[in-house]
Amino acid sequence: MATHRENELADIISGIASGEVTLLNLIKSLGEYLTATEEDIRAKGVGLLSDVLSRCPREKVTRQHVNVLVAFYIAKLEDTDTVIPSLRGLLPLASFPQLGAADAVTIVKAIFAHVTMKAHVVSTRHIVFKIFDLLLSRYCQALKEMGDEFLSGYVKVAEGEKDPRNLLLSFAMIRVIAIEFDIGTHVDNLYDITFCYFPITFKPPPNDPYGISTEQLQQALLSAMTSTPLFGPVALPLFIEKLSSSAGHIKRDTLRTLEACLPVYGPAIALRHASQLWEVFKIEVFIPADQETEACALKATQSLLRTLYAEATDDLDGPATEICHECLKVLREPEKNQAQHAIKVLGACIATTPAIARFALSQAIPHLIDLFQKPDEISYRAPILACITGILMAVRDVSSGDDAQKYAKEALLNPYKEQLMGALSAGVKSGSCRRPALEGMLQLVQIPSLLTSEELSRVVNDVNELLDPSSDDIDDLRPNALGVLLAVSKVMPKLVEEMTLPLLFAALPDHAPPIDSDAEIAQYQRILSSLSTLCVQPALFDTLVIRLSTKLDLICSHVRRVHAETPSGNHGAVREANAAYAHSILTVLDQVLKKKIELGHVDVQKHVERLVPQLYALFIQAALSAQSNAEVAAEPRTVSAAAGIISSIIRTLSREGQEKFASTLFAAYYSGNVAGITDGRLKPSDGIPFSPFAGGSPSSQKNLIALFSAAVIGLRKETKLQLADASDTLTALLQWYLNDAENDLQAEAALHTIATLLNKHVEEADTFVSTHRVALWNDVVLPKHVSGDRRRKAIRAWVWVTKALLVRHHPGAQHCVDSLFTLLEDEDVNWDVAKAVGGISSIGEDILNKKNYAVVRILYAQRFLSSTLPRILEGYRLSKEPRQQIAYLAALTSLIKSVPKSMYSQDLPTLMPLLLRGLDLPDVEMRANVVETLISISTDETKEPGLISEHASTIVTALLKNCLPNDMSSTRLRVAALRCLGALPHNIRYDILHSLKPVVIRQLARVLDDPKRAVRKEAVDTRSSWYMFHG
Amino acid sequence: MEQPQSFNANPRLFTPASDSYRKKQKSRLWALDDHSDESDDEEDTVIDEQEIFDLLRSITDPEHPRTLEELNVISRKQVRVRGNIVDVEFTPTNPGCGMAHVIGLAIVVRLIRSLPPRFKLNISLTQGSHQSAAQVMKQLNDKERVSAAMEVDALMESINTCLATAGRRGSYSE
Repeated sequence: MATHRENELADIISGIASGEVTLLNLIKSLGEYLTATEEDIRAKGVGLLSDVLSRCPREKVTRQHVNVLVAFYIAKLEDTDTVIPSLRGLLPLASFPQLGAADAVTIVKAIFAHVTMKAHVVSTRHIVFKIFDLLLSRYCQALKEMGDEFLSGYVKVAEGEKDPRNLLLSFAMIRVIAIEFDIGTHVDNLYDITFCYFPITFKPPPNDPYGISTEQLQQALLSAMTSTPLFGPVALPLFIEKLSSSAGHIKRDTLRTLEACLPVYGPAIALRHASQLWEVFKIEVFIPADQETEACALKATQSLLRTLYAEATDDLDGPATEICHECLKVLREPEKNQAQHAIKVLGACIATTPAIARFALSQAIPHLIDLFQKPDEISYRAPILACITGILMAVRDVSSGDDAQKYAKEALLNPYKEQLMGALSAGVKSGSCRRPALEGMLQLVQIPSLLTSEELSRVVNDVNELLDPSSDDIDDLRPNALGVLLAVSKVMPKLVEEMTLPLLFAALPDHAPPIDSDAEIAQYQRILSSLSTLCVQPALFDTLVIRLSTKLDLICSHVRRVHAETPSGNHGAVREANAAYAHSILTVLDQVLKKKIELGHVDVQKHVERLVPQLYALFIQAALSAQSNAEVAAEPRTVSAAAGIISSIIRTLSREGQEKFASTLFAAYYSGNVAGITDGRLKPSDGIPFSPFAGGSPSSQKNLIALFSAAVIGLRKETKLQLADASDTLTALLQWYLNDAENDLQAEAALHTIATLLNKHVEEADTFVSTHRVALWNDVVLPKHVSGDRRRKAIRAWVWVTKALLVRHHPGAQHCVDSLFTLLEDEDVNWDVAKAVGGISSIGEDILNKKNYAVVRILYAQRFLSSTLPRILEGYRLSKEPRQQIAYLAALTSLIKSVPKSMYSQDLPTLMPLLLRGLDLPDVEMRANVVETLISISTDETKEPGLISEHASTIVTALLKNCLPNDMSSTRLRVAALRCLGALPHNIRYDILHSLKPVVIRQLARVLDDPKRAVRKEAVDTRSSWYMFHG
Repeated sequence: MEQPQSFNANPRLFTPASDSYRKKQKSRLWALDDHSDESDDEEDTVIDEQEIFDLLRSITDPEHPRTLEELNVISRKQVRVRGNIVDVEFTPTNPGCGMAHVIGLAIVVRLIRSLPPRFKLNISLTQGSHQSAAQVMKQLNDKERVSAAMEVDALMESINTCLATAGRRGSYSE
């Protein structure tokens, strides 16, 4: 039936659109229906007309039509049976451009006269509100001229409305009316239809079709409440009443509303209620129920003060003075709990207007300084300084204000600067005051142009005393002290450079202390870590590079000298100690460089001509030495620290810069010409040649492949390399890796080089991909007669080749992965293959990333996962042998560990049983992988409800087993198992877990005695979560 | 009693001690190497005073939203470990504090839940700090009375509220 009617309607409308039918014809032919005596026929007739109107093209409706229709509908409004269809017709009319202002007034009057809102259902009332909304926005002036008639009429329409949709419209209209109309005698009525809804307690029902949120409604109401100052006198008593009689979110809502309303209502009315308001705010700020309410109350207080003292005046009589004095009274006991609240209130006052800030500071700071200087308050100096710091923080955080009320922060504090500096400076020198004093200094330094350079140098001087590297008493304060110096270095780097750095450098020994002198080692490490914090600014970094590279030279020559003096002695310990010292120095340089790169400092680049050649010279010289045991720089770990620096610097170079550098690099490594890379520091050697890739080259030279790889990794794809043939180069590297690499440093360096070159230059390496790669598989990985070690080594290379191709969606990657899968059934290597599967997917963390200009396509990991996961599941299902199953399980755990959870969450129901079996794997690391995966699943139970719940008791039992210390465990595994166990009560329903509670609590008692502190801590937390777990 | 709800409305606050008194373990020669995995390197350790103080310091006072450490109800010097015996002393904020028993119970419950069962607890109040110290101490060291108290739901509810923050162990950055 409905569709039948729908079709007819469509016919009529297309008729009107084409001009075959006119509206008047339609009305004429509807004639008898429109006036029929049967009420339902009349209603249907009018309804049809309204439906046509709401859908017919507007240009087909003339002004004359509109007049007739308005008159028609208004007449029909008088007829109770046709009210609803008439309103449905008036709604489209109200939006027609042909409608005149006079029509609008007529419609409004008719609705006022004939529509009784309370008698109608929500949907009808909604039509009325929509009609008013349209008319009010289009004919505001005409309706305004209706005066009282409109106002009282509208109040009657809106009165008692409860539907949130309608209220949204009504609130918006009230705002327009209050702003545009002369509401003089109707304030109370408008107040009634607005404020009776405060506070909004509406909660949208589940699946609310209209999707109106509480916040939307609150916002709309707020805009109505803040529409006119005339509401002030009636509204403020209401708010005050609500504040004293409510709690929780209603209280916060009221405070937020006051914050918004006070500026609108204006100073006169605010002043009349000021002391009452402060009385209620005070309770919230001095005895806060919670932090959120406290913050709301502070903001409301600020709003009150800003309203009262909006005019820039120094006359602060009244609330401002009263509030400050009240705080000051509390600050007579700065060591007590309330003092901290007083500081917050003062801080809020400071952020209101400059005049109030001046006044608050003039009261608080002299008072606190006074207390600080009183001999009998000496034991409270730390809390006093904490109060001062709190106030300084408020000043620092004040935004600079608008033009009318401009804050000059330095002028605010200038009068007290001397005294503040004195107190803080004294504080830095004494025990418990140090921390608040340092924090206070940090604030002063951060307020622009407050301190002069002399004053800043006083600060540096005071703080320097805390850096004494020989003492570990103040280790906890060191970060604060460095924080102050760092802040100074941003304003005046020179001061830190000239006053602090020399102290630190002077305390840095020229060679390492004996290997067993813990205190001295800790001392140089403290200095280095201080330097690493401070020397980020370009000027300071230059000094750091110069001083530390000199230090490196001294360290190297020291060890050489020791060897030369007693060539027969055993100097292993000396070399180890100094190599570690050099390593620490290089690490600091690396850390600072990384920080600088993050900050976008451009002075990093120039070090390709300074630090980089120095490092190559240092290390190549060591590698060429006939006596490598006298060479600090021959130590692999030290080499690897230098590699980090080289990568960081090379990455920042432009293509041209990289090409220039790369040619010297290749000349050194492939032709033994080291003059370029060391910038002339080393001459082409006449003794031992530098030929790290040559067969039979000493290990000390081979280690330096790490410095080759470090540079190559960071080269851009566009950077032209002078390679004879990319495939030959890659093959040679691969052979070198298989046959010559003797330690992990060398192996990794070769593999990284292969991966980065292959990834960036695969187009030029066809032969490698098609022939040499396959040969690696067929000749080394596959044959059973090749030794296990060599096969494993080859698998590792295979993984890197796969990664390099996979990230760029190279078709060869698929073959690489397929081949690996065939080996999952080879018992000699399947364990390694299983781990390799995970290794392939963990790409982002290593060197093949955008930072290193690798060619990385989006979603490569996703693609890999979605092709690999089903294979693993299938393989697991089909494998008969338990050992093979375990290999698939192992592959699964290492795969899942290395990709984000979102990638496999839809497969979790299938994966879950396998993961749980994974908790019994013999390999500790794999079990830890499974547990960590479970943690991330269980903390996100909402997305997969029931997944954990379903297996709850199995999981709990398996986790408890993995919490206990034994031979087959590790700290990582136990910590993870406990964390997972501890996450369950927060994410799983009580009724599912409650039967397990006693077992868990009993079992965990044993874990509380774990030999490792980290495990004990987790055990305590987990057990506590279970104790707190209630229905 | 002028203020029945509050035994001490504006207690003195103490600057919390530094994060941990525990000196860094033996400095490591290659310490700045950030690739090393810290957790498995940790040496085996025994439960010491610092560890037990860490368990207790961030318990919230039943009256104020402040920790026992901030209110100086407990300090590290008030914890002692002798073999399998743990002595803990605490100091109520004022001698008439009616919450002393609840504070003590919170400490006991926390330790029962967090220490291996081999430990014997011995709880005391600082001498002269409370008018009914002897009575409170007797209650706290009587195993049966403690377990009876732990059966009272209303009491445990407030104890659990105090203990909800205990896991912070003196760290204030959430």
